[in-house]
Amino acid sequence: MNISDLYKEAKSYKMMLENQSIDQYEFKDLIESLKIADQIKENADEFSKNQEIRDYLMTLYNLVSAISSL
Amino acid sequence: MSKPPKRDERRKAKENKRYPFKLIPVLFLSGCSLMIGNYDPLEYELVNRIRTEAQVSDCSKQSTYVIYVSALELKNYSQYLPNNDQEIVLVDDLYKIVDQLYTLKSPSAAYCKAKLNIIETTAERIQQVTGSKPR
Repeated sequence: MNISDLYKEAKSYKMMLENQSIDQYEFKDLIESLKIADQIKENADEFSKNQEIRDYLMTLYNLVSAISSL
Repeated sequence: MSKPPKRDERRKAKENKRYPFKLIPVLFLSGCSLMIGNYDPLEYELVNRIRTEAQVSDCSKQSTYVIYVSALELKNYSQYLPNNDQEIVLVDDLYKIVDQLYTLKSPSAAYCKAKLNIIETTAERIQQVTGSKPR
């Protein structure tokens, strides 16, 4: 989720609170969950980046090995 | 007076000089492989289960309990897998979200729906990461 998505979500929760479809505690909990979800997304992006670098290095290594065996 | 080194000897000496440079990528790659654990089918299955259960849940106590058990199972399973530090952080955070839903005694329908939506999207992101691990 990017910032605008997060804002949209938080806004929809605020509307739910105003419509009394959720209470104050649930509202706080949803905002907290949104924060955790955003943290998970950030960590997952970092993880994916590390894997991309690893894959790239592995390809490079295979290429160097192939060239040096010639 | 010593003879000039032969061509083979010169080549050997040249190769010996190159050895440290050849070792650098090998050591670096082995270091990188230590940072990321390998693909684990059971771990992937558990993440997929949480996502699917969140999709089909009707917000009853029984269905939230089922998601909670799966999240706890995933957390416990991932905890001691080797080289799995990054995944453990993701899974622990997912457990926190699920735990909040389960511990609430009588959640409202709107809250439960929003919460399940967060669980589903989060589990999907973790699934992408888990599925792309090296085999």
